[in-house]
Amino acid sequence: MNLTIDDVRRRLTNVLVTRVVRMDPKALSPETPLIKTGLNLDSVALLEFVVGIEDEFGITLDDAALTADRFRSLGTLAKYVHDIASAPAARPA
Amino acid sequence: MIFQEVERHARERPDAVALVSGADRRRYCALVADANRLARGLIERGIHPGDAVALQLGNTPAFVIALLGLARLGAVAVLLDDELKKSEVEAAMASAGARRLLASDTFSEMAAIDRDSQVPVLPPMPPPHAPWLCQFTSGTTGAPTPVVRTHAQVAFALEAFASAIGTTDRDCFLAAIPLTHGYGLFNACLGALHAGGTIVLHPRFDRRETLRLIARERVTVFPAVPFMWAILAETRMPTPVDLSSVRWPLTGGARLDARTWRVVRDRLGLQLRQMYGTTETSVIAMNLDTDVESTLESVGRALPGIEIAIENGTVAVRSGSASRADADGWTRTGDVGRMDESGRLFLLGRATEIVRVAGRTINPAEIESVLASYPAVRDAAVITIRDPHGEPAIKAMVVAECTVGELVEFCQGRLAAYKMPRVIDLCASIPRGRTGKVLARDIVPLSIDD
Repeated sequence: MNLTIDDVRRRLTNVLVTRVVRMDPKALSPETPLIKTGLNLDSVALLEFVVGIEDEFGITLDDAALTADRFRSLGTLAKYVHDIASAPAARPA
Repeated sequence: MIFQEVERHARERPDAVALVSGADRRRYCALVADANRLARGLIERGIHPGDAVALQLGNTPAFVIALLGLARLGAVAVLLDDELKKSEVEAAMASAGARRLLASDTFSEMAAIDRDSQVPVLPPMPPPHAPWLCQFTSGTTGAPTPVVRTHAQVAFALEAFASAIGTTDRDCFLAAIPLTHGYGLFNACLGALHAGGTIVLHPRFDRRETLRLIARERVTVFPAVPFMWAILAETRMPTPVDLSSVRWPLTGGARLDARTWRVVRDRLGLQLRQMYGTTETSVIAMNLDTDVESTLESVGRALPGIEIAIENGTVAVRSGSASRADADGWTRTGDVGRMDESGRLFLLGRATEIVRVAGRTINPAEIESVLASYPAVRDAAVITIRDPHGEPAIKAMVVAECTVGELVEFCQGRLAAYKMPRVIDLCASIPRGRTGKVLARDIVPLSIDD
Protein backbone atom coordinates (compact mmCIF):
# COMPACT_ATOMS: atom_id res chain seq x y z
CA MET A 1 0.00 0.00 0.00
CA ASN A 2 1.30 3.42 -0.92
CA LEU A 3 2.03 5.75 1.94
CA THR A 4 0.98 9.31 1.13
CA ILE A 5 2.41 12.47 2.68
CA ASP A 6 -1.04 13.19 4.11
CA ASP A 7 -1.06 9.79 5.87
CA VAL A 8 2.39 10.48 7.28
CA ARG A 9 1.36 13.91 8.52
CA ARG A 10 -1.79 12.55 10.15
CA ARG A 11 0.18 9.83 11.94
CA LEU A 12 2.89 12.33 12.97
CA THR A 13 0.20 14.58 14.44
CA ASN A 14 -1.15 11.64 16.40
CA VAL A 15 2.31 10.76 17.79
CA LEU A 16 2.85 14.41 18.70
CA VAL A 17 -0.39 14.87 20.65
CA THR A 18 -0.29 11.47 22.37
CA ARG A 19 3.40 11.33 23.32
CA VAL A 20 4.78 14.87 23.40
CA VAL A 21 2.30 17.70 23.88
CA ARG A 22 -1.24 17.44 25.12
CA MET A 23 -3.29 19.54 22.77
CA ASP A 24 -6.17 19.43 20.33
CA PRO A 25 -4.83 18.09 16.99
CA LYS A 26 -7.24 20.51 15.26
CA ALA A 27 -5.03 23.37 16.46
CA LEU A 28 -2.13 21.98 14.40
CA SER A 29 -1.67 22.69 10.71
CA PRO A 30 1.05 21.50 8.31
CA GLU A 31 2.65 24.94 8.74
CA THR A 32 2.67 25.01 12.58
CA PRO A 33 6.31 25.59 13.51
CA LEU A 34 7.65 22.80 15.76
CA ILE A 35 10.81 24.46 17.02
CA LYS A 36 11.98 27.98 17.78
CA THR A 37 8.45 29.39 17.48
CA GLY A 38 4.99 27.87 17.54
CA LEU A 39 5.14 24.69 19.65
CA ASN A 40 8.78 25.47 20.44
CA LEU A 41 9.66 21.86 21.28
CA ASP A 42 12.90 21.60 23.27
CA SER A 43 15.54 18.92 22.80
CA VAL A 44 13.88 16.62 25.34
CA ALA A 45 10.51 16.90 23.61
CA LEU A 46 12.08 16.41 20.18
CA LEU A 47 13.74 13.17 21.25
CA GLU A 48 10.46 11.91 22.70
CA PHE A 49 8.85 12.77 19.38
CA VAL A 50 11.59 11.00 17.41
CA VAL A 51 11.32 7.79 19.45
CA GLY A 52 7.55 7.88 18.88
CA ILE A 53 8.04 8.38 15.12
CA GLU A 54 10.46 5.44 14.94
CA ASP A 55 7.94 3.20 16.71
CA GLU A 56 5.02 4.39 14.59
CA PHE A 57 6.72 3.91 11.22
CA GLY A 58 9.20 1.16 12.12
CA ILE A 59 12.09 3.28 10.85
CA THR A 60 15.41 4.50 12.24
CA LEU A 61 16.18 8.22 12.39
CA ASP A 62 19.77 9.17 13.18
CA ASP A 63 19.99 11.84 15.90
CA ALA A 64 22.70 13.54 13.82
CA ALA A 65 20.29 13.84 10.88
CA LEU A 66 17.62 15.59 12.95
CA THR A 67 18.22 19.09 11.69
CA ALA A 68 16.20 22.25 12.30
CA ASP A 69 15.26 22.29 8.61
CA ARG A 70 13.57 18.90 8.82
CA PHE A 71 11.76 19.82 12.04
CA ARG A 72 10.62 23.23 10.84
CA SER A 73 6.96 22.14 10.66
CA LEU A 74 4.79 19.04 10.49
CA GLY A 75 4.82 19.53 6.71
CA THR A 76 8.63 19.46 6.35
CA LEU A 77 8.91 16.59 8.83
CA ALA A 78 6.22 14.59 7.01
CA LYS A 79 8.18 14.89 3.77
CA TYR A 80 11.39 13.67 5.46
CA VAL A 81 9.67 10.75 7.23
CA HIS A 82 7.79 9.88 4.04
CA ASP A 83 11.07 9.66 2.10
CA ILE A 84 12.61 7.34 4.69
CA ALA A 85 9.52 5.21 5.26
CA SER A 86 9.06 4.75 1.50
CA ALA A 87 12.65 3.67 0.89
CA PRO A 88 12.77 -0.07 0.12
CA ALA A 89 15.10 -0.83 3.08
CA ALA A 90 12.63 0.58 5.61
CA ARG A 91 9.79 -1.73 4.57
CA PRO A 92 9.29 -4.66 6.89
CA ALA A 93 10.60 -7.87 5.36
CA MET B 1 44.79 17.66 45.10
CA ILE B 2 43.56 16.72 41.65
CA PHE B 3 46.51 18.03 39.64
CA GLN B 4 49.05 16.09 41.72
CA GLU B 5 46.90 12.97 41.38
CA VAL B 6 46.78 13.29 37.60
CA GLU B 7 50.56 13.91 37.57
CA ARG B 8 51.03 10.73 39.61
CA HIS B 9 48.92 8.71 37.16
CA ALA B 10 51.01 10.16 34.30
CA ARG B 11 54.22 9.17 36.09
CA GLU B 12 53.11 5.66 37.05
CA ARG B 13 51.08 4.81 33.92
CA PRO B 14 52.08 7.36 31.25
CA ASP B 15 50.48 5.40 28.41
CA ALA B 16 47.11 4.84 30.13
CA VAL B 17 44.31 6.54 28.18
CA ALA B 18 42.87 9.52 30.06
CA LEU B 19 40.47 10.90 27.43
CA VAL B 20 38.61 9.48 24.46
CA SER B 21 36.92 11.94 22.13
CA GLY B 22 36.10 10.71 18.64
CA ALA B 23 39.39 9.44 17.20
CA ASP B 24 41.41 11.34 19.83
CA ARG B 25 42.78 8.97 22.52
CA ARG B 26 44.83 11.12 24.86
CA ARG B 27 47.19 9.44 27.30
CA TYR B 28 47.84 10.66 30.84
CA CYS B 29 51.37 11.85 29.97
CA ALA B 30 49.98 13.98 27.11
CA LEU B 31 47.16 15.34 29.28
CA VAL B 32 49.60 16.61 31.91
CA ALA B 33 51.88 18.10 29.26
CA ASP B 34 48.90 19.87 27.63
CA ALA B 35 47.71 21.24 30.99
CA ASN B 36 51.17 22.53 31.89
CA ARG B 37 51.49 24.17 28.48
CA LEU B 38 48.12 25.90 28.84
CA ALA B 39 49.07 27.11 32.34
CA ARG B 40 52.25 28.69 30.94
CA GLY B 41 50.34 30.15 28.00
CA LEU B 42 47.90 31.77 30.41
CA ILE B 43 50.73 33.27 32.49
CA GLU B 44 52.22 34.72 29.31
CA ARG B 45 48.85 36.37 28.64
CA GLY B 46 48.71 37.97 32.05
CA ILE B 47 46.66 35.43 34.04
CA HIS B 48 47.89 34.95 37.60
CA PRO B 49 47.08 32.59 40.48
CA GLY B 50 43.71 33.62 41.93
CA ASP B 51 42.42 35.10 38.66
CA ALA B 52 39.18 33.76 37.25
CA VAL B 53 38.97 32.42 33.68
CA ALA B 54 35.64 31.43 32.11
CA LEU B 55 35.40 28.18 30.13
CA GLN B 56 32.76 27.58 27.48
CA LEU B 57 34.12 24.49 25.82
CA GLY B 58 31.44 21.79 26.04
CA ASN B 59 32.41 18.16 26.66
CA THR B 60 35.76 18.31 24.86
CA PRO B 61 39.40 17.46 25.60
CA ALA B 62 40.04 21.23 25.69
CA PHE B 63 37.65 21.50 28.65
CA VAL B 64 39.54 18.89 30.68
CA ILE B 65 42.92 20.39 29.73
CA ALA B 66 41.69 23.85 30.75
CA LEU B 67 40.37 22.59 34.10
CA LEU B 68 43.72 21.01 34.89
CA GLY B 69 45.75 23.92 33.52
CA LEU B 70 43.88 26.32 35.78
CA ALA B 71 44.26 23.90 38.71
CA ARG B 72 48.04 23.86 38.14
CA LEU B 73 48.18 27.64 37.90
CA GLY B 74 46.03 28.17 40.99
CA ALA B 75 43.45 30.11 38.97
CA VAL B 76 39.68 29.72 39.12
CA ALA B 77 37.76 27.91 36.35
CA VAL B 78 34.36 29.54 35.79
CA LEU B 79 32.22 26.89 34.11
CA LEU B 80 29.69 28.10 31.53
CA ASP B 81 27.11 25.97 29.75
CA ASP B 82 27.89 25.87 26.03
CA GLU B 83 24.31 26.84 25.18
CA LEU B 84 24.51 30.21 26.96
CA LYS B 85 23.98 33.26 24.75
CA LYS B 86 26.43 36.17 24.61
CA SER B 87 24.53 38.32 27.13
CA GLU B 88 24.28 35.38 29.56
CA VAL B 89 28.02 34.69 29.21
CA GLU B 90 28.81 38.35 29.90
CA ALA B 91 26.56 38.44 32.98
CA ALA B 92 28.05 35.22 34.35
CA MET B 93 31.62 36.41 33.77
CA ALA B 94 30.87 39.72 35.48
CA SER B 95 29.33 38.04 38.53
CA ALA B 96 32.29 35.65 38.85
CA GLY B 97 34.86 38.37 38.17
CA ALA B 98 36.26 36.45 35.20
CA ARG B 99 38.58 38.47 32.96
CA ARG B 100 39.06 36.00 30.13
CA LEU B 101 36.89 33.55 28.24
CA LEU B 102 38.31 30.30 26.92
CA ALA B 103 35.95 29.13 24.17
CA SER B 104 36.52 26.80 21.24
CA ASP B 105 37.75 29.68 19.06
CA THR B 106 40.24 31.13 21.58
CA PHE B 107 41.52 27.95 23.21
CA SER B 108 44.38 27.12 20.84
CA GLU B 109 45.52 30.74 20.85
CA MET B 110 45.79 30.70 24.67
CA ALA B 111 47.53 27.34 24.65
CA ALA B 112 49.98 28.48 21.96
CA ILE B 113 53.40 28.31 23.50
CA ASP B 114 56.64 26.70 22.42
CA ARG B 115 56.20 23.00 23.10
CA ASP B 116 59.61 22.60 24.79
CA SER B 117 59.75 25.96 26.49
CA GLN B 118 60.00 26.01 30.28
CA VAL B 119 59.37 29.75 30.28
CA PRO B 120 57.44 31.31 31.87
CA VAL B 121 58.12 29.31 35.00
CA LEU B 122 55.05 27.93 36.72
CA PRO B 123 54.26 29.19 40.23
CA PRO B 124 54.25 26.77 43.21
CA MET B 125 51.26 24.42 43.44
CA PRO B 126 48.25 26.24 44.91
CA PRO B 127 47.45 25.52 48.59
CA PRO B 128 44.41 23.29 49.41
CA HIS B 129 42.30 26.28 50.45
CA ALA B 130 42.82 28.04 47.09
CA PRO B 131 39.59 28.40 45.07
CA TRP B 132 39.47 26.34 41.88
CA LEU B 133 35.94 25.81 40.54
CA CYS B 134 33.19 28.34 40.05
CA GLN B 135 29.77 27.03 39.01
CA PHE B 136 26.40 28.67 39.01
CA THR B 137 23.31 27.98 41.01
CA SER B 138 20.08 29.86 40.59
CA GLY B 139 19.40 32.33 43.37
CA THR B 140 16.05 33.68 44.52
CA THR B 141 16.50 36.93 42.59
CA GLY B 142 16.72 35.00 39.34
CA ALA B 143 20.30 35.94 38.58
CA PRO B 144 22.54 32.85 38.65
CA THR B 145 24.76 32.96 41.73
CA PRO B 146 28.39 31.81 41.55
CA VAL B 147 29.40 28.95 43.86
CA VAL B 148 33.15 28.71 44.41
CA ARG B 149 34.84 25.47 45.53
CA THR B 150 38.39 25.08 46.81
CA HIS B 151 40.81 22.29 45.89
CA ALA B 152 40.31 20.77 49.36
CA GLN B 153 36.50 20.76 49.07
CA VAL B 154 36.72 19.10 45.65
CA ALA B 155 39.22 16.51 46.97
CA PHE B 156 36.85 15.65 49.83
CA ALA B 157 33.94 15.12 47.44
CA LEU B 158 36.02 12.95 45.09
CA GLU B 159 37.28 10.77 47.95
CA ALA B 160 33.72 10.23 49.22
CA PHE B 161 32.53 9.20 45.73
CA ALA B 162 35.55 6.95 45.08
CA SER B 163 35.25 5.14 48.39
CA ALA B 164 31.49 4.67 47.97
CA ILE B 165 31.71 2.86 44.63
CA GLY B 166 35.30 1.62 44.76
CA THR B 167 36.63 3.20 41.57
CA THR B 168 39.93 1.95 40.11
CA ASP B 169 42.22 2.89 37.23
CA ARG B 170 40.42 0.28 35.11
CA ASP B 171 37.16 2.23 35.26
CA CYS B 172 35.86 3.97 32.16
CA PHE B 173 33.42 6.87 32.64
CA LEU B 174 31.02 8.08 29.96
CA ALA B 175 30.55 11.87 29.98
CA ALA B 176 27.30 12.40 28.05
CA ILE B 177 25.81 15.01 30.40
CA PRO B 178 27.13 18.60 30.52
CA LEU B 179 30.43 18.77 32.41
CA THR B 180 29.78 22.38 33.38
CA HIS B 181 27.17 21.14 35.88
CA GLY B 182 28.17 19.51 39.14
CA TYR B 183 26.53 16.16 38.42
CA GLY B 184 28.51 15.55 35.23
CA LEU B 185 31.68 17.31 36.32
CA PHE B 186 32.21 15.26 39.49
CA ASN B 187 30.73 11.91 38.54
CA ALA B 188 31.76 11.63 34.89
CA CYS B 189 34.98 13.67 34.74
CA LEU B 190 36.79 14.47 38.00
CA GLY B 191 35.87 11.06 39.49
CA ALA B 192 37.66 9.41 36.55
CA LEU B 193 40.76 11.61 36.85
CA HIS B 194 40.88 10.92 40.61
CA ALA B 195 40.83 7.15 39.97
CA GLY B 196 43.25 7.30 37.04
CA GLY B 197 40.56 5.91 34.74
CA THR B 198 39.34 6.93 31.30
CA ILE B 199 36.79 9.60 30.38
CA VAL B 200 34.84 9.03 27.18
CA LEU B 201 33.67 12.47 26.07
CA HIS B 202 30.36 12.69 24.25
CA PRO B 203 29.68 16.33 23.35
CA ARG B 204 26.04 16.15 22.34
CA PHE B 205 23.63 13.43 23.47
CA ASP B 206 22.94 11.05 20.60
CA ARG B 207 20.93 7.94 21.54
CA ARG B 208 22.56 5.32 19.35
CA GLU B 209 26.04 6.80 19.57
CA THR B 210 25.78 6.70 23.39
CA LEU B 211 24.87 3.00 23.33
CA ARG B 212 27.63 2.24 20.80
CA LEU B 213 30.21 4.11 22.91
CA ILE B 214 29.28 2.14 26.03
CA ALA B 215 29.79 -1.12 24.17
CA ARG B 216 32.93 -0.10 22.25
CA GLU B 217 34.80 1.50 25.16
CA ARG B 218 33.53 -0.99 27.79
CA VAL B 219 32.17 1.87 29.92
CA THR B 220 31.85 0.98 33.61
CA VAL B 221 30.43 4.19 35.14
CA PHE B 222 27.66 6.09 33.38
CA PRO B 223 25.86 8.95 35.13
CA ALA B 224 22.80 10.24 33.26
CA VAL B 225 19.44 11.85 34.00
CA PRO B 226 16.20 9.82 34.11
CA PHE B 227 15.02 11.21 30.77
CA MET B 228 18.17 9.95 29.02
CA TRP B 229 17.82 6.50 30.56
CA ALA B 230 14.17 6.31 29.49
CA ILE B 231 14.95 7.35 25.92
CA LEU B 232 17.95 4.97 25.67
CA ALA B 233 15.73 2.10 26.83
CA GLU B 234 13.15 2.95 24.16
CA THR B 235 15.72 3.21 21.35
CA ARG B 236 15.87 0.21 19.03
CA MET B 237 19.34 -0.77 17.81
CA PRO B 238 19.98 -2.44 14.44
CA THR B 239 22.11 -5.04 16.21
CA PRO B 240 22.11 -5.75 19.97
CA VAL B 241 24.71 -3.83 21.97
CA ASP B 242 26.54 -5.33 24.93
CA LEU B 243 26.10 -3.09 27.97
CA SER B 244 27.34 -5.67 30.48
CA SER B 245 30.47 -3.62 31.25
CA VAL B 246 28.41 -0.96 33.08
CA ARG B 247 28.74 -1.65 36.79
CA TRP B 248 27.47 1.76 37.93
CA PRO B 249 24.43 2.93 35.93
CA LEU B 250 23.77 6.15 37.84
CA THR B 251 20.86 8.53 37.74
CA GLY B 252 20.44 11.96 39.28
CA GLY B 253 19.39 15.51 38.53
CA ALA B 254 15.67 14.71 38.50
CA ARG B 255 13.20 12.32 40.14
CA LEU B 256 13.41 8.72 38.98
CA ASP B 257 10.07 7.00 38.60
CA ALA B 258 9.57 3.27 39.04
CA ARG B 259 8.41 2.86 35.44
CA THR B 260 11.70 4.21 34.05
CA TRP B 261 13.67 2.00 36.45
CA ARG B 262 11.85 -1.13 35.26
CA VAL B 263 12.04 -0.24 31.55
CA VAL B 264 15.80 0.27 31.88
CA ARG B 265 16.19 -3.04 33.72
CA ASP B 266 14.02 -4.96 31.24
CA ARG B 267 15.41 -3.49 28.01
CA LEU B 268 19.01 -2.55 28.89
CA GLY B 269 19.63 -5.06 31.68
CA LEU B 270 20.82 -2.32 34.04
CA GLN B 271 19.65 -1.58 37.58
CA LEU B 272 19.73 2.20 37.99
CA ARG B 273 21.01 3.68 41.21
CA GLN B 274 19.93 7.13 42.29
CA MET B 275 22.42 9.61 43.62
CA TYR B 276 21.91 13.03 45.11
CA GLY B 277 24.05 16.12 45.42
CA THR B 278 23.95 19.88 45.11
CA THR B 279 26.19 22.41 43.38
CA GLU B 280 27.51 23.48 46.80
CA THR B 281 28.35 19.97 48.05
CA SER B 282 28.67 17.60 45.04
CA VAL B 283 27.36 14.08 45.61
CA ILE B 284 26.35 13.41 49.21
CA ALA B 285 24.15 10.31 48.99
CA MET B 286 23.88 7.26 46.76
CA ASN B 287 21.67 4.19 46.67
CA LEU B 288 24.10 1.30 47.25
CA ASP B 289 21.43 -1.21 48.36
CA THR B 290 21.98 -4.77 47.12
CA ASP B 291 18.28 -5.11 46.33
CA VAL B 292 17.88 -1.76 44.55
CA GLU B 293 14.39 -2.51 43.29
CA SER B 294 12.93 -2.52 46.79
CA THR B 295 14.37 0.95 47.51
CA LEU B 296 14.59 2.42 44.01
CA GLU B 297 12.83 5.63 45.04
CA SER B 298 15.55 6.41 47.60
CA VAL B 299 18.62 8.47 46.72
CA GLY B 300 20.43 6.28 49.28
CA ARG B 301 22.43 6.92 52.42
CA ALA B 302 25.06 9.57 53.15
CA LEU B 303 28.47 8.81 51.60
CA PRO B 304 31.45 8.09 53.90
CA GLY B 305 32.50 11.16 55.92
CA ILE B 306 29.24 13.00 55.18
CA GLU B 307 26.31 13.56 57.55
CA ILE B 308 22.73 14.17 56.45
CA ALA B 309 19.86 15.25 58.67
CA ILE B 310 16.25 16.27 58.13
CA GLU B 311 15.51 19.60 59.71
CA ASN B 312 11.92 20.87 59.62
CA GLY B 313 11.35 18.66 56.62
CA THR B 314 14.32 19.89 54.61
CA VAL B 315 17.71 18.30 53.95
CA ALA B 316 20.77 19.57 55.84
CA VAL B 317 24.31 18.32 55.16
CA ARG B 318 27.61 18.41 57.03
CA SER B 319 30.45 17.72 54.62
CA GLY B 320 34.02 18.80 54.01
CA SER B 321 33.01 19.19 50.38
CA ALA B 322 30.56 22.06 51.01
CA SER B 323 31.34 25.48 49.56
CA ARG B 324 29.45 27.18 52.36
CA ALA B 325 28.01 26.28 55.74
CA ASP B 326 26.08 28.04 58.45
CA ALA B 327 27.79 28.86 61.79
CA ASP B 328 26.96 25.37 63.13
CA GLY B 329 28.83 23.69 60.25
CA TRP B 330 25.69 22.48 58.45
CA THR B 331 24.64 23.42 54.90
CA ARG B 332 20.90 23.78 54.31
CA THR B 333 20.05 22.55 50.82
CA GLY B 334 16.45 23.75 50.51
CA ASP B 335 15.43 20.29 49.24
CA VAL B 336 12.43 18.73 50.96
CA GLY B 337 13.04 15.15 52.09
CA ARG B 338 12.47 12.41 54.61
CA MET B 339 14.69 9.70 55.99
CA ASP B 340 13.71 6.15 56.92
CA GLU B 341 14.87 4.43 60.12
CA SER B 342 17.99 3.05 58.44
CA GLY B 343 19.18 6.40 57.09
CA ARG B 344 17.89 6.13 53.53
CA LEU B 345 17.03 9.54 52.12
CA PHE B 346 13.93 10.16 49.99
CA LEU B 347 13.56 13.49 48.17
CA LEU B 348 10.11 15.03 47.95
CA GLY B 349 10.72 18.33 46.16
CA ARG B 350 12.24 21.71 46.72
CA ALA B 351 11.41 24.38 49.22
CA THR B 352 13.00 27.00 47.04
CA GLU B 353 11.66 27.65 43.57
CA ILE B 354 14.18 25.87 41.40
CA VAL B 355 13.08 23.73 38.51
CA ARG B 356 15.11 20.89 37.10
CA VAL B 357 14.60 20.06 33.46
CA ALA B 358 16.69 17.32 31.85
CA GLY B 359 19.38 17.54 34.51
CA ARG B 360 19.81 21.29 34.35
CA THR B 361 18.64 23.75 36.96
CA ILE B 362 16.38 26.55 35.86
CA ASN B 363 15.20 29.41 37.98
CA PRO B 364 11.69 30.51 37.01
CA ALA B 365 12.49 34.03 38.23
CA GLU B 366 15.22 34.40 35.59
CA ILE B 367 12.79 33.47 32.80
CA GLU B 368 10.09 35.69 34.30
CA SER B 369 12.43 38.66 34.37
CA VAL B 370 13.38 38.17 30.70
CA LEU B 371 9.70 37.96 29.73
CA ALA B 372 8.85 41.00 31.85
CA SER B 373 11.56 43.06 30.13
CA TYR B 374 9.60 42.90 26.84
CA PRO B 375 7.72 46.23 26.57
CA ALA B 376 4.33 44.67 25.68
CA VAL B 377 4.38 42.39 28.74
CA ARG B 378 2.44 43.47 31.84
CA ASP B 379 2.99 40.37 33.97
CA ALA B 380 4.66 37.00 33.57
CA ALA B 381 4.84 33.83 35.62
CA VAL B 382 6.62 30.55 35.01
CA ILE B 383 5.48 27.22 36.38
CA THR B 384 6.49 23.61 35.85
CA ILE B 385 4.18 21.26 34.07
CA ARG B 386 4.52 17.53 33.46
CA ASP B 387 4.69 16.38 29.88
CA PRO B 388 2.88 13.14 28.93
CA HIS B 389 6.00 11.20 30.08
CA GLY B 390 5.83 12.80 33.52
CA GLU B 391 9.02 14.80 32.87
CA PRO B 392 9.08 18.38 34.10
CA ALA B 393 8.82 21.12 31.48
CA ILE B 394 8.54 24.89 31.70
CA LYS B 395 5.33 26.75 31.01
CA ALA B 396 5.12 30.53 30.93
CA MET B 397 1.92 32.47 31.52
CA VAL B 398 2.01 35.99 30.24
CA VAL B 399 -0.28 38.99 30.36
CA ALA B 400 0.70 40.92 27.24
CA GLU B 401 -0.48 42.85 24.22
CA CYS B 402 1.48 40.84 21.69
CA THR B 403 1.60 37.38 20.14
CA VAL B 404 3.27 34.25 21.48
CA GLY B 405 5.52 34.32 18.41
CA GLU B 406 6.89 37.75 19.34
CA LEU B 407 7.60 36.57 22.89
CA VAL B 408 9.40 33.46 21.67
CA GLU B 409 11.54 35.51 19.32
CA PHE B 410 12.38 37.99 22.07
CA CYS B 411 13.36 35.23 24.54
CA GLN B 412 15.48 33.35 22.01
CA GLY B 413 18.14 36.01 21.88
CA ARG B 414 18.27 36.16 25.69
CA LEU B 415 17.80 32.62 27.01
CA ALA B 416 19.67 29.38 26.33
CA ALA B 417 17.52 26.81 24.52
CA TYR B 418 17.11 24.64 27.63
CA LYS B 419 15.57 27.58 29.52
CA MET B 420 12.99 28.34 26.83
CA PRO B 421 9.42 27.60 27.96
CA ARG B 422 7.86 24.56 26.27
CA VAL B 423 4.49 26.30 26.36
CA ILE B 424 3.64 30.01 26.46
CA ASP B 425 0.04 30.90 27.27
CA LEU B 426 -1.46 34.38 27.13
CA CYS B 427 -3.69 35.05 30.16
CA ALA B 428 -6.03 37.83 31.24
CA SER B 429 -4.33 38.03 34.64
CA ILE B 430 -2.00 36.07 36.90
CA PRO B 431 -3.44 35.55 40.37
CA ARG B 432 -0.79 35.90 43.06
CA GLY B 433 -0.92 35.04 46.73
CA ARG B 434 -0.08 37.45 49.49
CA THR B 435 3.63 36.74 49.16
CA GLY B 436 3.51 37.34 45.43
CA LYS B 437 3.75 33.60 44.80
CA VAL B 438 1.84 32.50 41.74
CA LEU B 439 -1.36 30.58 42.37
CA ALA B 440 -1.01 28.48 39.26
CA ARG B 441 -4.27 26.57 39.52
CA ASP B 442 -6.36 29.72 39.33
CA ILE B 443 -5.00 31.02 36.05
CA VAL B 444 -7.57 31.47 33.33
CA PRO B 445 -6.29 30.77 29.83
CA LEU B 446 -7.23 33.59 27.46
CA SER B 447 -6.33 31.99 24.14
CA ILE B 448 -3.97 29.57 22.53
CA ASP B 449 -1.92 31.53 20.07
CA ASP B 450 -0.22 30.13 16.96
